[in-house]
Amino acid sequence: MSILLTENTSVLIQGITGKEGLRALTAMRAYHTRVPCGVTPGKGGHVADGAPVFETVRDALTSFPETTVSAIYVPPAAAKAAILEALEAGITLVNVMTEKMPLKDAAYCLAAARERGARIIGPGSLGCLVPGIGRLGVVGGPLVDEIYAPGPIGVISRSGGMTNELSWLVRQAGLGQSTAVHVGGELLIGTTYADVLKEMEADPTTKAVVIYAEQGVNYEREIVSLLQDGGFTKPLAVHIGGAFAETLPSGTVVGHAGAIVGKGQSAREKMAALQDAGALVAERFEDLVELIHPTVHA
Amino acid sequence: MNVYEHEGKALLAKHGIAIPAGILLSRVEEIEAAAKSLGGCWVAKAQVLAGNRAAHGGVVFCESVSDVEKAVSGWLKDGLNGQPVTSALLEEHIVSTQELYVSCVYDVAVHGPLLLVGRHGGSGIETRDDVRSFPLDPRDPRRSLETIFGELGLIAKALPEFCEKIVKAFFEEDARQIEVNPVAERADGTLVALDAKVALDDAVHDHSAFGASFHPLSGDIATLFSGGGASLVNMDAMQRAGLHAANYAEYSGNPPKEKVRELATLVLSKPDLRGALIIGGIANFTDIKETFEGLAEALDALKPSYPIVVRRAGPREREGLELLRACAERNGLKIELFGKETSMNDAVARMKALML
Repeated sequence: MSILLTENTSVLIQGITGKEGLRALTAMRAYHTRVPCGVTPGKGGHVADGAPVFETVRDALTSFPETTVSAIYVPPAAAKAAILEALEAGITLVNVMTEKMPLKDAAYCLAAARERGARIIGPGSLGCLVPGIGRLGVVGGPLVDEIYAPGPIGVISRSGGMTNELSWLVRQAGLGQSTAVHVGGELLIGTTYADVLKEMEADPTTKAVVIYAEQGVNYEREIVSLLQDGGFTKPLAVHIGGAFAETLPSGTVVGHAGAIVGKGQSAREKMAALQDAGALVAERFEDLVELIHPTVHA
Repeated sequence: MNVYEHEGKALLAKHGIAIPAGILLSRVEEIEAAAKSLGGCWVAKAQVLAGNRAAHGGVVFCESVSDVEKAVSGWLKDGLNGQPVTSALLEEHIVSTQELYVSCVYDVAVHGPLLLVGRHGGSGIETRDDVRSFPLDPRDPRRSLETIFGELGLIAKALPEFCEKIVKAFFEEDARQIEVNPVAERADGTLVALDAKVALDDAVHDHSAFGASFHPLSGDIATLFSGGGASLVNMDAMQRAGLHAANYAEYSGNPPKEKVRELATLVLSKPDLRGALIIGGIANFTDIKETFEGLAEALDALKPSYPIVVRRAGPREREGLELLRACAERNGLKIELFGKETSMNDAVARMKALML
């Protein structure tokens, strides 16, 4: 079993004719994922690396009605229209790679998706990967087979590079990943750690989960509530990056847009809350897999 | 990004929100004339971005021109709480019948914008439990507001209109946060924003180059990290190892080599460095060879004598690391190169062993 993607998932790319869109096309095809077509307004009728290009998502779905997922690779100013177009055409899973989308546009799209019961991963998300099954986006890049192999560990990360780094820790420990999800580093994100944990709780392949999280806006509260309510019962290890930032002035942003220094959202405060709720907390990022390893063999 | 109080107030005024009459002072000689032109009682406020300004003595109520001169010239000369102060805002003192709290902010708990309203503004607002929060529908914030107009009107007659203007400013100015604390209600029922804490949406307002960030710090190890997450994890590892960063610098995505050269030159040319850490995680799509071409160009020009530790993986990692090896050889540099087999933490520990 797998979450988010299956062997039969069919993905269209909005912005398929751009550099980033073409790279995503190559990455998904190279990892067992069907990308029958793409959309770029003004380029309908063209062909992008063998994939037909349509004017609108609706046109694309008329020709490829089995497509339920869209990967969005458009500039920030065009992202809102692209996401709303996908949602209105009936797409149920939207991965938004676009970074630096205006907050008011992101908020608008998240509300629209919520109303329709659709899922947005991102904005600012490189996607997700189910080892051996498929890839949505560019997670893993060309080194994918060195880092990813099917296994019992769910991987969730706020950072694109750290999604690989964490999955590599898992692999180095002789384990594999059930699914790796890059939720994105922006202030507002459509799919949070807790949302993915709920999926991983229901997924029989996932035996334990590791999370790379960061100081800044507090999505970890949702993890704490989920643990307290018994909504996630498998072993969970979390690391919060950015303990150093406590010495920086309030309001400073380090790395990701969501990593804003502020009261109640320091690495130390979040780690303490997670620990109290029963999560395993890694002081060092490198210790994450060591914490979870014994629980998988038991 | 946070903006100064006087900038935040200008933004509120643009949307029809009343603010106290005030004058921005940046020179000691301006103080007396400014105070006399405002007349009566004054509030002098140091313009700094740090929080807890009042607790550090950055807000002073003045009853005479000499009070004003003492406060403002003190800040301009000596700064506030160790921070330099380049300007102060001198305002008329507003007499209020009650002080409220109003804020509009993106909140992750509701995954969208939130309006916060408190009956009792002023310091210590974080610990008060009578602040009400109202989620706003980002698709039609006005309609969300209309449903709570009645409730707001019970707190102060002019509050619905005030909140409407705050929310309008929030969306139209692409703000991340607008906090007015306190909002003064005057005897005639009008509301005045006595303070303004405004943070703008970086995605819209920050036009700095190609998604790189840089903060100068006071240590002696230059840092250049790739990837937001990797930058945090490595800064933490440095802290644990007792290394002091000379700066925080991070680039991500796929910047052209010229941009990497520019950032690398800025970071590596700081005087009195004892080492440099150039570390990234396992990139998804950053072209390691191309980005390292920019780094090699910076190293060719600077030829630093301090030790450098590089750890990086991702597309074209072999070509990228090979390029740096050649660069080190032709310049006689002390560089150690690592791939993903070496953890970021171990790379940082290696710096500790090598540093001058």
